[in-house]
Amino acid sequence: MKLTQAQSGSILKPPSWRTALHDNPWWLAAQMFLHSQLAMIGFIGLSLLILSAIFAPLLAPYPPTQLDYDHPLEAPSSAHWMGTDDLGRDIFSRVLYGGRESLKVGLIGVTIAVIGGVCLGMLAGFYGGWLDNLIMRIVDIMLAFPYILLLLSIVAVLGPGLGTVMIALGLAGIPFYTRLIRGSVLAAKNFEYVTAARVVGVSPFAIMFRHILPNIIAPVIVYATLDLGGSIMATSGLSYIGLGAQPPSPEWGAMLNAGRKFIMQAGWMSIYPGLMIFFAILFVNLIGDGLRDAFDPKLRR
Amino acid sequence: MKNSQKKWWNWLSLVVVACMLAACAAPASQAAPAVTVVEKEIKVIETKIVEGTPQVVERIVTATPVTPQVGGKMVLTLYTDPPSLDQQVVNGTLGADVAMRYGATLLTYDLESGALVGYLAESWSNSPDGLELTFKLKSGVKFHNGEPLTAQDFVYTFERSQDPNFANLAKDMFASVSKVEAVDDLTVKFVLSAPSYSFLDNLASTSTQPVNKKAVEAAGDGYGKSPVGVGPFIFKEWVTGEKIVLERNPDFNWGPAYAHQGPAYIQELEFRILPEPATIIAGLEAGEIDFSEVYASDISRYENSDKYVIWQAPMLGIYPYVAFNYSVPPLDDVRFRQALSYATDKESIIKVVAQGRAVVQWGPLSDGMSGYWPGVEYIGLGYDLPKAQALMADLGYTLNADGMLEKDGEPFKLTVKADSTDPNAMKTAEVLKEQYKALGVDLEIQLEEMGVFYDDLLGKNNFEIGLPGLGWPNDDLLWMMFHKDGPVNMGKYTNDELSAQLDTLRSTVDTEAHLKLSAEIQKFAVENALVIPTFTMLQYLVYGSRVKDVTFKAGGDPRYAAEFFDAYIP
Repeated sequence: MKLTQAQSGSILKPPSWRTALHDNPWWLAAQMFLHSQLAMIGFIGLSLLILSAIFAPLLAPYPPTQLDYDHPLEAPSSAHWMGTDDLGRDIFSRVLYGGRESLKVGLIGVTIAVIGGVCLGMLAGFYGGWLDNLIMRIVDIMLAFPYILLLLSIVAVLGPGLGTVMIALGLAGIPFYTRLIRGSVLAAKNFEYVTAARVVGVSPFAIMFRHILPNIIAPVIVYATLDLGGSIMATSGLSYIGLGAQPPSPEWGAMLNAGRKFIMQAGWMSIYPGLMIFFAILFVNLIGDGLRDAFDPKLRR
Repeated sequence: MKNSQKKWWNWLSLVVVACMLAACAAPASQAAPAVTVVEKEIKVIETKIVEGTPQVVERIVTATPVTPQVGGKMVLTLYTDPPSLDQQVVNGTLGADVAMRYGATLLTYDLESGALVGYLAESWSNSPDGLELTFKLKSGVKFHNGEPLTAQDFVYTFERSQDPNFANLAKDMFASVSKVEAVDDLTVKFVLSAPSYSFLDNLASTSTQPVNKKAVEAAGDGYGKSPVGVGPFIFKEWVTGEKIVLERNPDFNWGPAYAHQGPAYIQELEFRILPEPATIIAGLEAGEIDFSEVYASDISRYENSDKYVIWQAPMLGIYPYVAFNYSVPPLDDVRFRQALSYATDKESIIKVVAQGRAVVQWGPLSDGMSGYWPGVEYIGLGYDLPKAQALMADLGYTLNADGMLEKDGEPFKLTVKADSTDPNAMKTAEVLKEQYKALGVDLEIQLEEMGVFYDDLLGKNNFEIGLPGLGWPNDDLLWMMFHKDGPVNMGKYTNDELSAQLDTLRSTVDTEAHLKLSAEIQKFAVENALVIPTFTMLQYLVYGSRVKDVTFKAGGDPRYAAEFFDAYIP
């Protein structure tokens, strides 16, 4: 059979960068993401929150722990945009600084969970055998605990504080990622490109992280984004019950807890940190939903 | 170890949070008269229209004495379930306000004069050496299980409290008693090992209420869940996490002389368990709750309304205060402790922590406690930052580039521990952190759950600075706080000379000599900055005005100062 010009061209010549880009699933996902309005709202909103947290020292009108003995529990005004708390501290400044704590803890916690989960899941899925058994049984044990109870026990053992909350979020999150990754690795390790790499003599480590990982990471990214919202909420929740941020930290959950006693008399003490938690989680979830749609080939036209 | 665990748990009960006062309905602040709201005269302003010209007529109507009617339900609040309702176990934080309704004490404080008067006791006498106290009991007093109250019940009450395996507060109240004898059915004699200044006061405390042997044996381990007493109300039921219900005792006619003789008028007392202040506020406003303690921050909602009656009283004790671990340098140095005292701006703490509703406390005892020495106001270490800085310079501390103090080039940090369930202590910690920063001292706040916190401060001595609280009605608190064997000696202050003085204080029965010695000890405590007191907060109680004739005794936690002997709901 004779090859047509076009066919031979596509085989013999390397594809142009444009064609390559259009075939790249990451490019397609990015296109999809950028065209989703809700995802973009989430992206812009979260970016604003992160920027305001990073630039809090420039934006905040007052230091976050500066007391004002003569103006406690003042309603929002031009001097204090979100009012003051029971110790006379400016809520707006505290909310900006609080973002640093809440977002940082959520991000670091999820990062620990992802890294831990990816490593363990890879090992379990790729090697199988007793190693798989060992890792997965430990994961099963950890999953048998309710998530929040596991968090509480880890914090109770390590002592309260935001540092321990990060570690607790990471440790408690690892089993979920391990499971997710292991399943994908089990499917992926029988694909031809993996067999091919083996035949050529690529080291197992390189196969895992250079060949398999890029092909299975998309669901992890989606899951991690959605998980970020949950982690911010868990951080605030732990601070709310006094196990997370220690005073005078302006972490949002801790601020919410401090405002609880004054809810009838100074609602702004709870409303603003509450709104910040709400928006942070909303934006993160919008991004997560956008990413999920973007990585889902079935939704692609 | 096991024993010491029990020991501190016992004291933990007496420690802390806003209220304590294991009992003591009212402290012996003899001077302040009790106030009762009695409607005798009502001024009525009527507008009469006489021949088209409005005319204001003022006349005085003497209210006809209302005969209180029997019936009605009064709803009170508790912030959590008490661990037990056993008279000998309940403490001022939890349960004593229920126990004082279903039980009764030998003595109580008079409503008008504040002096000790008989409640279950008809009369009493003291032997010349002060070692034998003999009480004549009222006759016809019956426990709720039908058993008559006899001197034998007091013998049993004392013996039960001495069981080493039974953690109870009564044991501490009976600390000076060596034995109790039943002379006859209605005469009981307490034999003391040494004269005691505060023992009679202890007999007015909920913890020393008589317990009936048959009732305890019949209930077994469940006694704490279904207690039996001799009070104006009978324990009816306890639904965990929801409510504790008491009902009127129709046989009750042995109330103290200042109350009417006969059963209480209110049919039912329901203590609702409501941990959230917001729920209590909503309940008070809806009229579903009649009687509750309310935070100072919320009191302004009730002040200008005739739907409520407010009762306020300064807290008795020391709360919150800065406790030092005397064995940790640099806190072992009196100058360092004084410097921190001078750096503490108490007025500002009051403004933000107590919403201005408190007064400065200068010494270990609060104004209103029996034995309080007013002189502390003149020698108290007030806010004086330059003086604090000078003391720090004396000690060899210099300011570094960040404005923090350091010694020999070594910066240092102090950790303050606070109870995470105690909002006042937590806020005080935050304010102190800022105030000490101005002096150049870096304070790190560490919150701990209540049990862990008091274990660290009392049992393990594992802290640098702590923010505990102690409630107690009289100057025996000095012994507890600073004696080398004191049960709430936080930070283990050991000074043999002071301990000897404190022992003398306890056994000095002569009032004048007692007060003089007490004043000396308070002076010593202030001058040596043994603790940094902060403020004496006001405690508030709000009740709906539909409940009439609730009486309050002067001073002390309003929950214990309130009595319902004469109260009724028209």
